[in-house]
Amino acid sequence: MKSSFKKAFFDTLPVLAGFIVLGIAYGMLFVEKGYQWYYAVLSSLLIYAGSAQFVAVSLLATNINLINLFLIIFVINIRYIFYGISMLNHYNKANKVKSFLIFGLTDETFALLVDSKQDDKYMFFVTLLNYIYWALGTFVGSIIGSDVVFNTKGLDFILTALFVTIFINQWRKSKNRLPLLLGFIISGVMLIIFKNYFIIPTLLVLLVVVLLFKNKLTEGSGDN
Amino acid sequence: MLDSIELLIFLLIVSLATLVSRVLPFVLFSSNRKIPNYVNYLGKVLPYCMTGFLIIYCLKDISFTNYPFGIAEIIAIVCVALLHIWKKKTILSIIGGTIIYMILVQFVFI
Repeated sequence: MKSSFKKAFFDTLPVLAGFIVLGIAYGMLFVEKGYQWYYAVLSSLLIYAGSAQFVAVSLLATNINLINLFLIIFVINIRYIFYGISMLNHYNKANKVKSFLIFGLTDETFALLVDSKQDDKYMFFVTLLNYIYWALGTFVGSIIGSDVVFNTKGLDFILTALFVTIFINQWRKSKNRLPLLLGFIISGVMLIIFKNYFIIPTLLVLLVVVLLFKNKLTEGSGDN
Repeated sequence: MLDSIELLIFLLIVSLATLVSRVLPFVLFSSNRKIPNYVNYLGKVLPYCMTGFLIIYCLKDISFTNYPFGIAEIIAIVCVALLHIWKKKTILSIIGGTIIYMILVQFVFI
């Protein structure tokens, strides 16, 4: 028990730093819209999905209807379906904590757990610690946000930067870089063609291309 | 601005949409059924496709046909990439790139 926790804590230290920074940015953006700090923290506890929360905050002032809101957030989170598919075997074995592991499946938690030894306690602590870091960052950001002394314009670039670093990390790790390139190029082309409506066409084209070119995409990856 | 009830409903909808995306695979492919091969394959390849998608997603509100043509974003992204290739420290790359971006949008391309 103790060693699982210790290992989880050390492994999640980079996430601690990242989530504090991102959480502060999120908390600041949230209270900037004029809402109380505890709503920011509540949103992080209820939702716990970085990019979806940033988008949700940007939609707060737009009078969006709830069905569209649901669809947009679902589409942004569609990658969680792919994470879930990757974690099916591991999580299905974790009886007691399975529900919490599924609730807490973020990009970072996924990245830490997908290649690790699948010990229930370790998976639980990694998920729990990341969840706490995110809420803590949000709390700090939302508290200092209301009387912030510097201009926060551009602070939301943190999210873009995070994805760029994840892209480069995956680029380094993968033997077959075609899936990475495909995602980037297809999304870029679809954005040019469909402008703001590019999400659904992108995901459909990606799915079709990925299913059609199975041989090319699994070449050199060492498994089927 | 939303009142507190509207805000709570707003947050619950976002929470629900997130939860559905996380729970769905586990409902569709529960522990007592064998996972189809194509699902296993998608699980391996699609997460990599999604990273490039997310970078592009962040650029979706930029007008590339009007000044400043997304120059600040492109410069900052290149800086993040170079920093990360050079130093390999995720937090440093994120903070460094963000500071550069904030300087660009606050003082250069106003």
